[in-house]
Amino acid sequence: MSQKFRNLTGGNISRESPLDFRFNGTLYQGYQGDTLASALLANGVRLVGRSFKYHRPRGVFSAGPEEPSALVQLGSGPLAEPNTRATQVELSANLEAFSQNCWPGVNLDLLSINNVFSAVLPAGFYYKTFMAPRRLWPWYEKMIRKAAGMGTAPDQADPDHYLCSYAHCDVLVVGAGPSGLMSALAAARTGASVMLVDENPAAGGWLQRERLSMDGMPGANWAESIWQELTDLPNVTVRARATAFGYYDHNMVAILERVPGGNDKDLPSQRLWRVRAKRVVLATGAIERPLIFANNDRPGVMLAGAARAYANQYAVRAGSRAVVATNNNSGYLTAVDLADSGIAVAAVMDSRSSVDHTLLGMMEERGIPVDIGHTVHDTRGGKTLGAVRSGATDVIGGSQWMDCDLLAVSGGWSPAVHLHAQTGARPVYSTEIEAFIPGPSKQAEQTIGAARGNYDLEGCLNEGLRAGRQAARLAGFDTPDEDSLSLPETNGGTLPYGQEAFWHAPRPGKRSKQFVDIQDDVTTLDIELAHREGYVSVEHLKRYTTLGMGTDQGKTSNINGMALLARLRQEPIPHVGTTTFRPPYTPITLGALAGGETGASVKPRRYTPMHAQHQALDAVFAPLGLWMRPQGYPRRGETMHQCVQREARAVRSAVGLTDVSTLGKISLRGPDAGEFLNRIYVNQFSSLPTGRARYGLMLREDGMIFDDGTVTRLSEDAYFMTCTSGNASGVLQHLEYHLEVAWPELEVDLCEVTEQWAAVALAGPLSRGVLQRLCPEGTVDAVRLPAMGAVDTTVAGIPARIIRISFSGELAFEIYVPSSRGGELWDALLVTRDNTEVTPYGMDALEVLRIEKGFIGMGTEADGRTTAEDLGLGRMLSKKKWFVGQLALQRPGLNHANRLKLVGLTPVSPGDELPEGAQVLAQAVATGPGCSIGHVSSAAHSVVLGTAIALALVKGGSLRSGDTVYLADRARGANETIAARVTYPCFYDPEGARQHD
Amino acid sequence: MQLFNCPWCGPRAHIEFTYIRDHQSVSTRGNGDDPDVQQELDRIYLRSNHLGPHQEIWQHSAGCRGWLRITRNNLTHEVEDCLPCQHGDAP
Repeated sequence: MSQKFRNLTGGNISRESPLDFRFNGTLYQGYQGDTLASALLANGVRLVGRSFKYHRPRGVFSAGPEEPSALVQLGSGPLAEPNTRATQVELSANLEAFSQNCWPGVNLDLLSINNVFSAVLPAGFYYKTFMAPRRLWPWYEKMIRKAAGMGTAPDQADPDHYLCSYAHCDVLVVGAGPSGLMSALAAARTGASVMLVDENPAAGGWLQRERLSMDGMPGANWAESIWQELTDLPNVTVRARATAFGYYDHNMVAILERVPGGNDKDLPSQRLWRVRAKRVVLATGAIERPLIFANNDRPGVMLAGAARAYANQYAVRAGSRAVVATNNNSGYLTAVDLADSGIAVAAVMDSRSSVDHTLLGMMEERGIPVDIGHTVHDTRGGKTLGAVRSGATDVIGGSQWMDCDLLAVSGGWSPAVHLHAQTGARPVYSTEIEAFIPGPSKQAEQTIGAARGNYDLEGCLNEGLRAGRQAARLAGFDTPDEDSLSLPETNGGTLPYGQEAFWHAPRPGKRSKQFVDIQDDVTTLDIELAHREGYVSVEHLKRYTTLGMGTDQGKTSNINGMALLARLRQEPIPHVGTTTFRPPYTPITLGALAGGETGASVKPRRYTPMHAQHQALDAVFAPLGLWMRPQGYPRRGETMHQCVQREARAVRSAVGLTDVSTLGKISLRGPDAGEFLNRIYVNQFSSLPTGRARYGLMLREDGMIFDDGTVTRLSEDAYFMTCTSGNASGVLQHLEYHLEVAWPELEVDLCEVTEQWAAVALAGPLSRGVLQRLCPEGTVDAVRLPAMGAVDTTVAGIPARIIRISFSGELAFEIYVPSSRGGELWDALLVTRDNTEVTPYGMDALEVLRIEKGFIGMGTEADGRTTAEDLGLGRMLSKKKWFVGQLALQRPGLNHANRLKLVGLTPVSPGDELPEGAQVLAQAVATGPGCSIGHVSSAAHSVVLGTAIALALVKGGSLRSGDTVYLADRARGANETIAARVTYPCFYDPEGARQHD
Repeated sequence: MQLFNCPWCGPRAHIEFTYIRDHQSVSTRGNGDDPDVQQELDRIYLRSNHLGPHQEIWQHSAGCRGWLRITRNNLTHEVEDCLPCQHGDAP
């Protein structure tokens, strides 16, 4: 349990807050302020996982979001989170983490046999090898995926909850390093609303990792004081643990905030912020590049800056005896800090040909030998690093073995231009710092500091100050004259960058592995192979070798890979270019994107005003769009089929009651309302007398049926329209479009009143009797209220509009009352004074009644591809006026004899069911694709015929009347076809005598 | 997520809006105008699909339900204009 590699003093950790945690089941201790990576290193745990393809031992490589190899699974069961970067996981009490991609364990991994056979596993190996037989590929793929893996996704629902929020600000600053802090402070002083976010738990960025003083205090403390000052300002919002992962259109930045909730179950585990900023300042820093040499992936090989971070920020010695290999001055800072933290620094290998004397002086002071013009060529070791072989940069394989357990490498620094590039801007290559730096901005954004390739602390602070003021000014806020903001005094801890490109050491052996992308096990050999095979575009190289395709998206490997490709192509690096930077910057949990929109919260649910009544009757509900509507009211011991048949029979023989409140209802008023309806519907409405209703058909512009419904004329200039429940919002939009965009000259006002009215249909031969006893004398008589008549009256004392309209083919009344009184109406109609049994019926019975009558259904017969003519409604098309869709109906294709037209079907054997959706064939046996002559659009079991019936769309339509056709339903596994007879598409009372009685 | 400056509500995220159609396809023809079938079909089915500024009809469907004519660059997503749809706006 002892932290053998932890220093007794130093670091930004709380030694008074020890935390227990488990890694692969073993109990360890770390401190508040640690990451999982720093706590593992403090305990001497070097081997963290196995590599993706070759199962080679891997350890902690970095100290930040760029981590390619220390990927662990956090937690277990439903809370498990795979592929988390140990370098970014904040240590917390009782944290549990596991190694990935190893079996049975990280120390003994049987699949490391892949490493032995690696010579036969180059890029493209799987594609080339598992070509044949083709049918076995799914099996091959399964086995390959099992062997080459990342973590395991949890297979249970995520018990965490997440929130999505929107935020707005004048200036958003991403990154709270020196540049970002100064920028936020300068912008805040202008009075602009400022948001500052940083992915780390504490502010400072690299100041956390340096040993320098600012305004007389350690850099981390200075950062903390500025952060605190910003926190206290009313116009500033600061968010720590918040990663800006995506830069989207019109200056929207997506930010994922990890919420340290502890045991508070009310807190979300993560918050997704969508922040719209007038100006964005990106101060996202830079990412160190590794050097490329043989076996550069062993646990113990680490980015130099990371080794320094572990020493300075966490007081952890990442090894006992170190070698530093660098091509720039920052490696010397690492050597100094490692030596001062108690690590024996065996040597500094500097690939450059000459080095500044002050650096050599610093090394001499600490007794560290420097080999100029030298680099590391190879390493050896078992599960951790044992020794490195170094030598002059041009001596293949190096010349001298040196024992060490830590190799700190620095191949220079690449600005983190990810968010900048996501704006659509193209980073440009700077030969001065040998890296891609931001190009011209494509959005209201400015990239500053190390993210722009400025690696000088004072330069960064200065740039931050100016950028903050500028961003505020561009957002409309001027810096006050009395602003006394000045730069802090800095002292020590920095060096000029002084980089000299050195991309990779010569390969010592023909097959030596020099890893370019450690996460994806891509070596220099793979890149050479890809180039040889013609993958010379950087995008092709990426996809062929998987370079940069891991969860780290090549943060440490891309530039090195591109430099290699450039050398192979014998072209400068800018000609090779970069691959596309895409969000997210670091992986994010899918749950965070869903936020609260899960389970029942995915979409709202709508209930009718009679919902409680339906529940009391034990209705079975089914969704209809967003509505919950009764499907039927089964009695005890009744199957759903029996229930539906009983309900439908009751309507045919007595009286039934159904809730139709879900119908779309639109009120229209204005002198041009009649003209408007004339243009919208295929039939005439301006001639409709007051107090009468008419069935109407609406077309799309292309002539296809869009919706049907009824319109009642209430007065000279007022109409009441109903439309299909599921299409209500579409119809409203259709009407609004024509009124606002196409014909604004028409004086009509529209108002959707769907939720203002509760509605029921009372249908059946006994319906008038039931209603008569609840309405004022004479109001619903056959004379006063004929078929398609409408009247405003009262029902059981409730103000009501009654329209005599039928969708069941029986005598029927649609009754509309204010929503608040819907339940009352339902109760009054259901419990009659003379003991007439009124049967409540649901959507399924309604469907049986509709199909028996051959009325078209929206989405079934009117499926968006059928015209009025196709469905036998051609006579409705007015020839006296123009209407939407009229001209398109003249297309020859819509008048072709072979179009699918509406017919009825009955089974040849009365016991057969007619499956909905079945294909209609002319022969009993399917002769192959394309032999279908139509399909069954709706089917039901008829209560009047006692057999199955169906509506179908069939080529030729009524020309086939009396023919026998065959229904194939292979999709549901039926091998035999069902014989059916083509009939007129109305199975009951074709003259309509019953509803017009 | 794009930002549209609704002339009635101010700047709003595009998820509040519904794309309705290409402005080229708008017809303001009412009753009684001389019908030309081919012209009508061309309007419905044939539109130029050019790169750059493009006029579109959107509705602020989850807001004021107002109708907008937006000139939007389909390459850069830059919104050049966001105007109320007015009479006489036919292409």
